[in-house]
Amino acid sequence: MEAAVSIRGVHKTYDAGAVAVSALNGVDLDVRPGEGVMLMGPSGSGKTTLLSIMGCILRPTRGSVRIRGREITVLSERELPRIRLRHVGFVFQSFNLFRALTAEENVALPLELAGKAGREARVRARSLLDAVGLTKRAQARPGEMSGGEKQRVAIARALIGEPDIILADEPTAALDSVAGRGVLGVLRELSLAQGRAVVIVSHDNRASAFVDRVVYLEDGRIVGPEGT
Amino acid sequence: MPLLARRNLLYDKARFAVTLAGIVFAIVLVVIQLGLFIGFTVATSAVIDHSGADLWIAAKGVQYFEVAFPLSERKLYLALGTPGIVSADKLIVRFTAWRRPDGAETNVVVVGFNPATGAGGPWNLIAGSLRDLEIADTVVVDEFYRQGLGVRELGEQVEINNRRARVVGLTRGIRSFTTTPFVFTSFKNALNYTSTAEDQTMYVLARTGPGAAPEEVKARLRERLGDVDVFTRQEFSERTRHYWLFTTGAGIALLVAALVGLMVGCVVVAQTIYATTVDHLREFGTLKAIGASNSYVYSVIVQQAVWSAVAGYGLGMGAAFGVIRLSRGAGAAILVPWQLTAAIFGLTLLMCVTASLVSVHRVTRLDPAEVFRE
Repeated sequence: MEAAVSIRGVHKTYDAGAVAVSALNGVDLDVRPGEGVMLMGPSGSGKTTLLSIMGCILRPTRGSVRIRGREITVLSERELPRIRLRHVGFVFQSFNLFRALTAEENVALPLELAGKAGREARVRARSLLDAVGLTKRAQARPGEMSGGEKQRVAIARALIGEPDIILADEPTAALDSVAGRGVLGVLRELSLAQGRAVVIVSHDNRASAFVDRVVYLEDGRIVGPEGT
Repeated sequence: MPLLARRNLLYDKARFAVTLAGIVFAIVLVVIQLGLFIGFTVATSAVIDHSGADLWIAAKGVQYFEVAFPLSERKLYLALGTPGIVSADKLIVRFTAWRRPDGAETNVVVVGFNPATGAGGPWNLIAGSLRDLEIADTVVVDEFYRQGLGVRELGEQVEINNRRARVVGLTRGIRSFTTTPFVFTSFKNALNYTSTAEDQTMYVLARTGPGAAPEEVKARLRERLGDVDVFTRQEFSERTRHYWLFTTGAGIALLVAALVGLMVGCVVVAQTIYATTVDHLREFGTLKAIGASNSYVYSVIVQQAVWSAVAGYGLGMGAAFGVIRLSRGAGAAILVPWQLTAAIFGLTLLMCVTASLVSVHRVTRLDPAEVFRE
């Protein structure tokens, strides 16, 4: 089966003044459709850099990144937003919802960006809010929601564009354990049902129960994959 | 309009109110200052502009309407005999003293014209008629100066230069640039009120015939009349305006004030719109991360600015006209022609969009990877 995302020999070096800091040193990773992968490792190990590269918001210094077989390192800056919109869904640690929009509008936003705003987008947003258990919160604004509710809205937003891969950066860091488990459960359940690949960056060992594989990073290298 | 632009504007009502307040402040300041400038500009040359004369003949060296030097009456007849001239009238303009019925004295500018032709006379009469001025010792004043001149009603008796005068008419909207009111009367009366010799005048106002080019007739008049200045109406109007607005410095002061108002307004608007964008920087970063193109993000920012401009313009013009209404009784006329309202709209849009473009620059440099940083 073709990988949802395939990373080969990826290096990433940041310029920090006169010194070059190496964040990734030859990372190889494949994530299949429907597969859940968790990236673990100490701070500074390169987890977020790898996530950003998989999400096409950061370019590797060297190496290959393919999404559904398409090499994205050769694409121009102008083309990358369209790739993100079409192929990648994001779930952020701080939810990153738009405070002026209702839950339904937040979820429907990627469709508006894709030029598909309107009734169909609203219907689809409502259906996803149903799926994440927020049927009655469609008209609530982020300021009126709990952390767990906000993260469920973020998951619905990540899924609405039917992306190939969902990237979640510390999705439970701002939540209590009950809400965190609920969010991970919803994320895993919906991504499995829709055949989306999920990559989660987390420090929380308990999150490993919701993925197929845990990948350990240290000093910008994968030091140990582990199946669950 | 993107949903996000609309929602952002209305969500943070306090910030929107601050933005609107900045725009309204700028608009009121600019409208009032430019309106004053236009009002003064129009007032300085109003009598010239309404004179109906194509050419103004004056003694050499005249700088502005209110102060001219005596000319021999002979110039009138020479002008009348010049090819291309179909009619000519004498006009006296001179400062003199007005004594109110209560004995208090004030200065006025007496304008003595020919009531039969109306050349150089008043307009916008709201009481009385020009014919009434053919009666001896009669004058017309503007209703705005009634109180200052002590005119309680039509028929009021006053003294001008120690001669009896009766107010037989009122005009509306004829204000002088200075605080000295115009008092219109017949040329014959004006001779007495200004102690001018009977064979003298201050100006000769000439009309050219159909098909005659004023510039050609002007050249002929110069040649024929010798030591006089001849101006087209437009030239004399501009000369007078230029004197009052720029030679005296009054116009420069108004223009500078308008410019300062514009600059202060721009800074306030730029600052608030910039602050609004910066406040939403994280959201714009998220937008870029989830796949919004730069043009979409810019359209959100610019459209927020455009709608702020439209709303601010509406409120600002409303406030400006409110201030103008309240200042009707004050000495200065504030004129806001439609061209100014249109220009202010364009200026407001430009101001807001420019301010938003400054903040767009900040968003352009925004790295979408910022969304992963706490």
